[in-house]
Amino acid sequence: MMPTPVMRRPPRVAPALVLALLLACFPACTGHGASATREPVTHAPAAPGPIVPPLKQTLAAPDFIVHTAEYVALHRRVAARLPAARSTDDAARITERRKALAAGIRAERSEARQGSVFTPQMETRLRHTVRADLQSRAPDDRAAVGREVPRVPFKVNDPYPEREPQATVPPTLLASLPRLPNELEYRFCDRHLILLDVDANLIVDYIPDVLPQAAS
Amino acid sequence: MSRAPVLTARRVRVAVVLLAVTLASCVDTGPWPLWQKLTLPLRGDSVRFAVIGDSGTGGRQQYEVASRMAEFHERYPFDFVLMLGDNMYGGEEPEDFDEKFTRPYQALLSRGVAFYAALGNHDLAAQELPFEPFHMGGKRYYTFVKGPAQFFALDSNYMDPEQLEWLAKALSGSVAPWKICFFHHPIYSSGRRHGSEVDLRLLVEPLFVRYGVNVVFAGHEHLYERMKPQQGIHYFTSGGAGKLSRNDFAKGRPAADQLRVAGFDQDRHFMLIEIAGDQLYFQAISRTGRTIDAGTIYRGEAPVPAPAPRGSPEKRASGAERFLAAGRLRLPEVGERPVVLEDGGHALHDLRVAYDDAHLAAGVELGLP
Repeated sequence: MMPTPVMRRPPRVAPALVLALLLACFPACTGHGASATREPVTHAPAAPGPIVPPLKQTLAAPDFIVHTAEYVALHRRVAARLPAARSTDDAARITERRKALAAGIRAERSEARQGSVFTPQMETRLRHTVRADLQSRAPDDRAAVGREVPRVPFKVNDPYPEREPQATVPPTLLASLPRLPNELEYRFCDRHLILLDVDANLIVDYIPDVLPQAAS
Repeated sequence: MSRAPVLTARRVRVAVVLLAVTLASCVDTGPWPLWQKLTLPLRGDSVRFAVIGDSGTGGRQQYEVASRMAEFHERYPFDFVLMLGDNMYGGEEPEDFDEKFTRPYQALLSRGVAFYAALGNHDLAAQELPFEPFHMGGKRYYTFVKGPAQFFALDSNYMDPEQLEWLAKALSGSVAPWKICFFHHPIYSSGRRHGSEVDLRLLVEPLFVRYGVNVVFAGHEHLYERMKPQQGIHYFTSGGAGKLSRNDFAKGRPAADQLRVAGFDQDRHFMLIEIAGDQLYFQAISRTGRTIDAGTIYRGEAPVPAPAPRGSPEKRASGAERFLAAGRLRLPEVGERPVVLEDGGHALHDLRVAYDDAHLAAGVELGLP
């Protein structure tokens, strides 16, 4: 008699780890929101309400959440090795810190490739979201999405081209995308949706050809 | 054989006007030419500031606007300057900060004038947020209070839900009689290059209306324009302190043109503002010192309905409604304000504008540069 094979469940990311990363990297989810790093000078914002339910978002894209949280943990680890970021009138010091941060992150994730943060599942979802948003727009608005977008070749870990304008991401589209930690933003570069590290001005990952030819 | 000059009525008229201007310059305004007239009342207890947008080219014209601002500062000592974004074009190395900010505005900086910046699409957040002279405190969006006015600097490049909710809470908690928002992308503009940012308007305008924003300053379009009040809110586009889209209005955007009350696209410019009690005085001044627009905004008049958004009204409106209704943005109730103003004029959209065009006559008729 053949022994009954033992069914093993595939390894899963430990829920506790996910929760810890979320608490560490998504201040908005913990009720502190903009107050963590983007608080106004004279008015501390109260805890933000349920803009996008974090739990729902986490369940919808657990890998993406984990990857972004891991990236932000790395970002903060590198930043902690540098002089503290503070306001200064010395632009050279700001530049020096920004470039050191970018170099440190680049060194720590030298193996990163396209798709390392945007998982295939998330890529599919974001393509659908962007497509649906563009289809809901009038032709003028649709064309405006791809206006003033830099047309420069890039790869993961490259700095965002400093001399180029940053494409403005339509706010209603932003509202449809999964929320990001404060360190990261969605942007467009050419027809690609990029994940930008704001403080380091670094391209963390991208999804190619998200915008149709006509919109770019 | 040369012909004798013909003494036409037009030439006589021009000569008389020129003579009058010359005499008036000598007698009335001391060292200041007549066309460099200050229209602001300079009241003792007022809040005074300047507004510049799209300034950071490092070019000759930016420097000329800056030195004109410094000249006016001698007569009108404003305390701070709002920067409407694109503070730094084409590179943000340390030498760029020197060339595009510190040097042109040195005269103002040395007199203690503070600059409060909003981010434009040409600005590198990582460089500008921590730059102390921009007073951003490391934040993309922030607020500060000056006398009876509260200012809200927004990042219109990246209006994420987090920022929208912060704005809703900051506005709802404000007890300032004057609420002034400033950011880069205009939500009402007749500019040909970009036009109105309808997508942004769908999300921020309901907050402006709901929480009683009085005045909005934006840049992005490289010109000056003042729009008809929309739902009681006054919109200025001032994006020509360094860049210029000359003859932009001539290209025509008929629907949007109807919204424009005043416009100027022939030279660079800046604005001076004075808030005194229930009045906000504004004066837009060209690079050469000519007044291109001026007037007074009063708190306390009925609103003007806003036009429907451009494009497919059903789709866009329903999109905004879905967004707001889906609970993605929770709007605080007006009653959540910690203090209810006793001032009845604080009711939403209570504004009217008086146009003060008399002083423009000389500059317009002479076509001064």
